[in-house]
Amino acid sequence: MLKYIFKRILLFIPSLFIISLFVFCLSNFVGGNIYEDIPDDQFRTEHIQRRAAKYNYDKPNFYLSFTAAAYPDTLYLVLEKDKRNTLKQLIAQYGNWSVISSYKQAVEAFIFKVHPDNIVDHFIDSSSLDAQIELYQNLTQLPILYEDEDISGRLENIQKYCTNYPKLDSFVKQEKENLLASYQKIKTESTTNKLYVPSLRWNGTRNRYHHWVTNLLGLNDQLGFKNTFPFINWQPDFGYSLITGKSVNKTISDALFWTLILNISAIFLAYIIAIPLGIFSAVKNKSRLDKVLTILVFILYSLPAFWIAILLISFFTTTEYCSWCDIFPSSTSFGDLLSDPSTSWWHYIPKFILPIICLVYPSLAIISRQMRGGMFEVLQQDYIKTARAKGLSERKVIGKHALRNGVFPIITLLAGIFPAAVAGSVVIERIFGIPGMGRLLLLSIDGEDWPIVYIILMLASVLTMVGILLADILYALVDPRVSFK
Amino acid sequence: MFFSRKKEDQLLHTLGAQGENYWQKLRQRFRKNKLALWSTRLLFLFIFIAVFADFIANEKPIYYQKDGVHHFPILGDYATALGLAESKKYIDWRELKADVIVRAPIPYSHNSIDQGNSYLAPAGNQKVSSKRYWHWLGTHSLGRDVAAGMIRGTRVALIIGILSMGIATILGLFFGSLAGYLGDDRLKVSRIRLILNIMAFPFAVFYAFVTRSYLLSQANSFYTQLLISLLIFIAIIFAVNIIATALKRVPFLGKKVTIALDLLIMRLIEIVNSIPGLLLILAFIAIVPKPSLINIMVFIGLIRWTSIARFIRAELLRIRNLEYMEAAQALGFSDWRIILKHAIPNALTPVLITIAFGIASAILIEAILSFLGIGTSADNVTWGYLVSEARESTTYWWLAIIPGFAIFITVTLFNLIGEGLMTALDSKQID
Repeated sequence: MLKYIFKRILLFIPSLFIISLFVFCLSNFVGGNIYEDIPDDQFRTEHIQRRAAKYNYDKPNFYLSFTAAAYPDTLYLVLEKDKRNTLKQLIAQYGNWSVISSYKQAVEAFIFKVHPDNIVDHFIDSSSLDAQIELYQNLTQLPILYEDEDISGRLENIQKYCTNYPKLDSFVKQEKENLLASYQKIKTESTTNKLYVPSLRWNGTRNRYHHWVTNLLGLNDQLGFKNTFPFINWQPDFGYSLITGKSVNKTISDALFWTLILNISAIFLAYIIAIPLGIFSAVKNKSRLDKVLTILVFILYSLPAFWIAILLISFFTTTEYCSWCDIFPSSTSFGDLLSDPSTSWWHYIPKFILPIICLVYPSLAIISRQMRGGMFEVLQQDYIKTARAKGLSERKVIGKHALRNGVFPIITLLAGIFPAAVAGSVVIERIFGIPGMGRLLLLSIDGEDWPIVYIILMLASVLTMVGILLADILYALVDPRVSFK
Repeated sequence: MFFSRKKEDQLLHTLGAQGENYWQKLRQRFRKNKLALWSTRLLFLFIFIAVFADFIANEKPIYYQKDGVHHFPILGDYATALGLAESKKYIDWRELKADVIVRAPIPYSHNSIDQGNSYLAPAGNQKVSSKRYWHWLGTHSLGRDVAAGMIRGTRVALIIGILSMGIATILGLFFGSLAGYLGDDRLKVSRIRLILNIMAFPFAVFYAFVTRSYLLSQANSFYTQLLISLLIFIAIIFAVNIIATALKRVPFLGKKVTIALDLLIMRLIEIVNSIPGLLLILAFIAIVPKPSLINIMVFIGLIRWTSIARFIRAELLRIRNLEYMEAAQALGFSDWRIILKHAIPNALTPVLITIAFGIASAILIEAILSFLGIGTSADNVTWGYLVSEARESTTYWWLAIIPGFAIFITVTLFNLIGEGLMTALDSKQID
């Protein structure tokens, strides 16, 4: 028994590792330039560095990297994704990083020299000024170009401006020559053979994945949030929102609060209703009532919850269709309640009636069917016959003897409760405007706030795994017949 | 739905005794179940609607005759799509004047815009030229016809359901038969082959993809370059295996090791199962730049294959030690032939049940996604999208009722078919 549990937990750890890797990889695919809104002024580089450090973008991705020897191990320090990709493409073509990096510096120096903020206008007339701006615009394209054709075209333009405006030419002469020479050098001194030499590098623990996971586990207490989860001694750092720039710990724990309230009450209600239903159908097996119940829960199961939600809102929250139809409160003003300091907890109750209905009814079928199956099997057993034969009341036979064994199958459903409690109500929350995890997830997807999206995915996955693990262990504990192989 | 782990196990046990007329009996059992039978018949109607959707709801006429020339605009569209004909210039089909016109039963396409008739109820104040152009199921945004949207939605829902489960079935069959047939003990390879393959894999990826990254990034020759990359990859793995065959003779290197393939695949299934499906699809969709129904289909397929794989695996584990398998082996049949011709047909019924339930849930997921407006664009009218339009106002009762009811009916159909198959398979009933 202990061995089984131990083995089960041991298998849990590599799965967890793989899931975290998977979610991390997914999060790496999402695009978007997170530095887009930073103004192009003299502090830009500094700002970019600060933001990159905040989101851990100034680190390599993983413990190991396996690339060609031509790629430098410090490429991740080029923070902007499009510029980094350009450099990668240049290396993939020519393979000589040292020359490419001096070309990059030449471009940067040139851009700096003709930057509109650095105009030294005392020797440039107005027409040269326009030329300088044209020149600058051409230059700013260079860091994101890698095709020889495109770069050469830009370089030709630059030369053209310089020859047309001798004053400008003399002003930027050195930078221009540097740039042209370094680009020539890239082409003449290419070392493509380096592209065929693989190299495996160890990046150490200062990498994005390591930070992400340890923050999630609460091992790096850099924020000093002690009270995110008051009852458990777990201080995770979920990272920062890309939109507000604030820590998402508070956002997630707030959302979790509402989702937990919603789902736990729904799950609780579902069990309270479905278990007696299941027992009833099992006892009255093949009776008319059993058949009606079976069909009823089947229909309930097949009714899409989001449709029922829409129907309930359309027909039972307004007086549009009949005068007594507004039996449920309208669901639109959850935000007002939250912002109003005078609201007490009972003001929220009416808001939860409809969502809970929509969450409860689909799960009735699953739970009651499971319960019915389990009970039905137990009622066929010999010991139930014995119990009846010795004259126990039907109530005692069912309530005391059968129920205890018949409830086993419900345990397998336990695995589903954990993820459902966190992410089981995405659509319902969206429809009823409940500020829970599901709504947060959808809002974050819409707003491209990726750190939140992937943290929620990770949390839900981990909880599902924990649920499956617990269900397996519990099942083994309560039912000694389960084989431990 | 009613697949607990226990029920699954039960089903797998019932697969034992299968005589020659097993399929016949199963068919009889299934036909006795009136509800399932009628569901199947109704499903054929839905498939008919899906296949001929273009001829049922279309703003273009099916046929018209003008100046003595016969025209078939809808068929012409198919020819254009297949590249057999050039695309025609724009014609305002509503105003078309011709000698003979045969229009589709619903003279609107799902995206035909009817300005001034937005959000009108079936019995509402519709401004149409004649009863022929009446919007019988009302209109939604931009005056688009709901009936036409429903017809189009039928096609989308069935395509999504069937193709995504098709992908899932292929994956499930592949992984399930690998895990079940080879189990934890049958895949034996020599040490040297294992080591060389593990070591060669990163190098194959490196030489096939990393060093060719620039060539692969060229958009105009992407598929050619990808093909070359794959060939390089296969060549490296192949070369390594030839070396391994040569080195196998060395006693130490040639020693066989057993790979617990079943364990590995079961771990994979556990991992896939432990990521909540809807969340995973949402996260997947987030990384694809362009929304499309094909993506949704692939993603649903990628998460739904696990239960099919479990069935196939369990069935193969059960029968691989039976006598007829040994006989087949003794007759010199290859492993794959045994799997395909003997093992998989036996496991097919529970797989069919899973597919039926799976199609129901795939249709539901697609409806939810288009209801949320994620992964599909707004001009792609589907049932879920139509339901979402009902959120604009509580007065749009026809948008709240009609498309949702279609989703409900379709999902129920597939669930009933699955149920019918399940009862037909129940061992207590099959002798």
